[in-house]
Amino acid sequence: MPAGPRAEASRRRRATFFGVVAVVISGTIAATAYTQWRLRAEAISRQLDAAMMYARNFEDHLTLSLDVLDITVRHVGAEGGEFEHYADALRSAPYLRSLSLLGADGKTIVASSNPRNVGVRVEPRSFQPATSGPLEILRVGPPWIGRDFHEGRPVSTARPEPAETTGFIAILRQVHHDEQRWAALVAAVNPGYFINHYSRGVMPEAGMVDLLRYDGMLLLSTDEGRHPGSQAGNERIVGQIDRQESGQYVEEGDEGRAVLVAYRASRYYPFIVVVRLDKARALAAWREEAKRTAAIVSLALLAALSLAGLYYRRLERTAREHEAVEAELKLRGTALGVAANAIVITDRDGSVKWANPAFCDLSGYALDETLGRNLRELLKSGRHAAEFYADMWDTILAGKVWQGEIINRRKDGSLFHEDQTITPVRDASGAIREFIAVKQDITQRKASEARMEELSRHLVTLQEGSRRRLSGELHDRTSPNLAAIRINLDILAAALPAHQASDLHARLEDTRALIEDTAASIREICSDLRPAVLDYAGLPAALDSYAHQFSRRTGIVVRVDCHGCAARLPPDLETVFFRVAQEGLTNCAKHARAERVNLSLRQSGGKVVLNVTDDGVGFASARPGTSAQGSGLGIVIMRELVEFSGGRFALESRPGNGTHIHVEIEIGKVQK
Amino acid sequence: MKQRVLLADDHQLFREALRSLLEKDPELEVVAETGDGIDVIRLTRETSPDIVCMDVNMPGLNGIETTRQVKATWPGVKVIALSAYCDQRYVLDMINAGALAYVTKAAAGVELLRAIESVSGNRSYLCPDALDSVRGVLSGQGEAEKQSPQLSAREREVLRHVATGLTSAQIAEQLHIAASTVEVHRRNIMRKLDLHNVAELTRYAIRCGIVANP
Repeated sequence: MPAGPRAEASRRRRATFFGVVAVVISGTIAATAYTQWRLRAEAISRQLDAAMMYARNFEDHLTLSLDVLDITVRHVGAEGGEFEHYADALRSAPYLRSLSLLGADGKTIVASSNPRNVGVRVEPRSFQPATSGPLEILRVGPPWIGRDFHEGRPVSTARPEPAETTGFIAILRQVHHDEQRWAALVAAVNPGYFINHYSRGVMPEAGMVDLLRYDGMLLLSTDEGRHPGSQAGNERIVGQIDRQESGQYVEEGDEGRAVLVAYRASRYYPFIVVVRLDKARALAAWREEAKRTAAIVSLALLAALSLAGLYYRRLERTAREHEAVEAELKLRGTALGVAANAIVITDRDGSVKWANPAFCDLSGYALDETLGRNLRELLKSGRHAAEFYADMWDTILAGKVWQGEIINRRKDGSLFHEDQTITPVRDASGAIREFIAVKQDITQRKASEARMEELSRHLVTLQEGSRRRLSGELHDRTSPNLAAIRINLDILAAALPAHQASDLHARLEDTRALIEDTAASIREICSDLRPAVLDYAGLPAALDSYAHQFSRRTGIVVRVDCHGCAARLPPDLETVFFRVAQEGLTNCAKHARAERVNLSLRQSGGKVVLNVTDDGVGFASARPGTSAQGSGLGIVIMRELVEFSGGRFALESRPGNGTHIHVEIEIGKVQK
Repeated sequence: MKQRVLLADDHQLFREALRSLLEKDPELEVVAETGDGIDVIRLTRETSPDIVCMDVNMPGLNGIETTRQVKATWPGVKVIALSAYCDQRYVLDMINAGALAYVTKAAAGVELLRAIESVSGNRSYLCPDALDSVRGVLSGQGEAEKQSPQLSAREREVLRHVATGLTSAQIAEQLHIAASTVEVHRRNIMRKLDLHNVAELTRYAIRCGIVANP
């Protein structure tokens, strides 16, 4: 499985995930920021409105106060210059410090409070608005430093004074006495009264309130740091006041301290109330809120990111698993596809659902010719009995695996042998849904098995033939030769003169012994190769005879019981049984260390049964080929001999319990 | 009066050896010889032998069938079976066919002379191997007393040495023969006595007085 595509898919997923996360984060941040910006703007706007409200409020208060002053002054002025009247007027106006009547030369002629004020000159031109003639309006002079006119002096723009210096504001009104006469009254207004009033409205730390003249000169301020008389910082308002009686704006102050400014000019009098609110303080609530919001949003974002991360990891894992499963399935699919064995999947009725190329090769059908068709009608050869097919179906419908060899028919009608395993597949409820049939074409194997069997049988026949010939040769020629030699030797010995005969006697006897030993060994060899008596007299006689010689040779007692067996059996069968008995006895002598062997041959109903049982050491019969006795090959040969004859060979042996060989062959079954 | 003998064996060298042997005996006269079963019938008619030495396996007509025919026609003719085999079935079949004696070819020399001597006196004779193979039949299931086998002087000598515990090499040295020859003697002794190890040989030697009881 190449890692490339999977890594690529994983990378793509990761990129998508991080892209989405980035979009979500930036979106959230942007939305939050936008909201905060909007909230901030709203907060500023609200605070500006508040400043404006203060400004209006203060302007109302100021205008009212000045209305009262105007009335008072007008009233006092109408009454004429009586000191008592002035004092009365002052009592009812807490913001008035004093009232003074100016003479035509501008000098004070009546003073309400300090008599020393009398004679102090007040310059009417320093009052605003400047007028060319007398008018019945309130005009404002510059703020004064000092308790009264007598000891004070007016400040100017060039010389502003610190606010803490006790001072007052001079307000002048010309009063129309009669047709020709005008009097000018100057009121000293106590700035503390207004400062107190303003300070109650706007806390000093939240901002400040200024009272300006129309020309921008500062008359009083709640901020002690601002000097009455100065015009600094009010240029903008002065510039706008002609067009707009009131306004509000944000002003970037010194040291980065921005202030929210609202101003309002008095409706009737030349005053401007300016409210300045500290922007930072005004935004404090918003800032708190913003911080909280940011914290909450951050937390929420963090939580969302964590969840997304977890989700991503899970997604990734699932994807990997999915990919692995997919790859596995693909691998298996490929494996099934390329398997040399034919594989077919059918439904419960035997209709083909899937088949691999090997099946198509085997059956000769193309895949689409098989799909949906019943395997029976495709392949059934009819070469087996109905019970065979019934048994197969019984087995698999019972949910068991059926395994066996079966002859089927190809598309072209030719027959083939296959080794087939049918496995039922159950669904979750346990019902059989499908069958998987795995088939292997064993036609060739069958053919080569048949050929092998044929060859083996041929080999056995050849071997028997050559054994017979060799045995016959030894018997018919070698043995008589030896016998003739022996007789001749006897004749020669008899012909020897007596004195020589005694010398050679021992030598002759040794020679006779040699001949005798050789003859005996030839007899044994012949008996092993192919006993003549087997061909002459049949299996029981040959077994008797062989057992007799075997006993003599080995000392092992052999009991032969051939009762109930015909003297003659088919020759091939006689050979097989004799060879098995011979091999069995040879094993007894060579490996089993047996003392007794029972050999029985029975015949019943066309079946011949040979049993060879010894009392030897036995061996672990599960692995006869590897047993210490090394008798494996003999057993294999015995088994093959019997099975080639269509018989059954069974060997039973346990260490210490001897060995039992059981062979049965049906006479009719012997293959020629 | 000389016994007239007909030799029937398809192995010529063996036949000639037998003829030489038999002609040494003044009591015997070989009147004819052949290697074919059918010839035997003809020669019997022509030469009227007293004794026919009949090979069991012959071309033409085999020894058993020939014997049957000979005995059917000339019941007085005594048939001695000669065979390379001593399987029980051959022995019994020959005897049933009418043979009076059975001798294996391996032991043909002395045994054949004994057989002729026996049948001349109308007694049957079986050589030791043949007797051994039919013992079971003769006595039920082989409980008959075994005929004491005849060991040669040399074999008795070898057995004596074996029983006293000498090895084959030592015996060979004692007897001035090859060790392999001693082995041959040993094998022959064991086969004849139907014994299969030194302990059994020693026991036999003591019982038969070949060596003294220690």
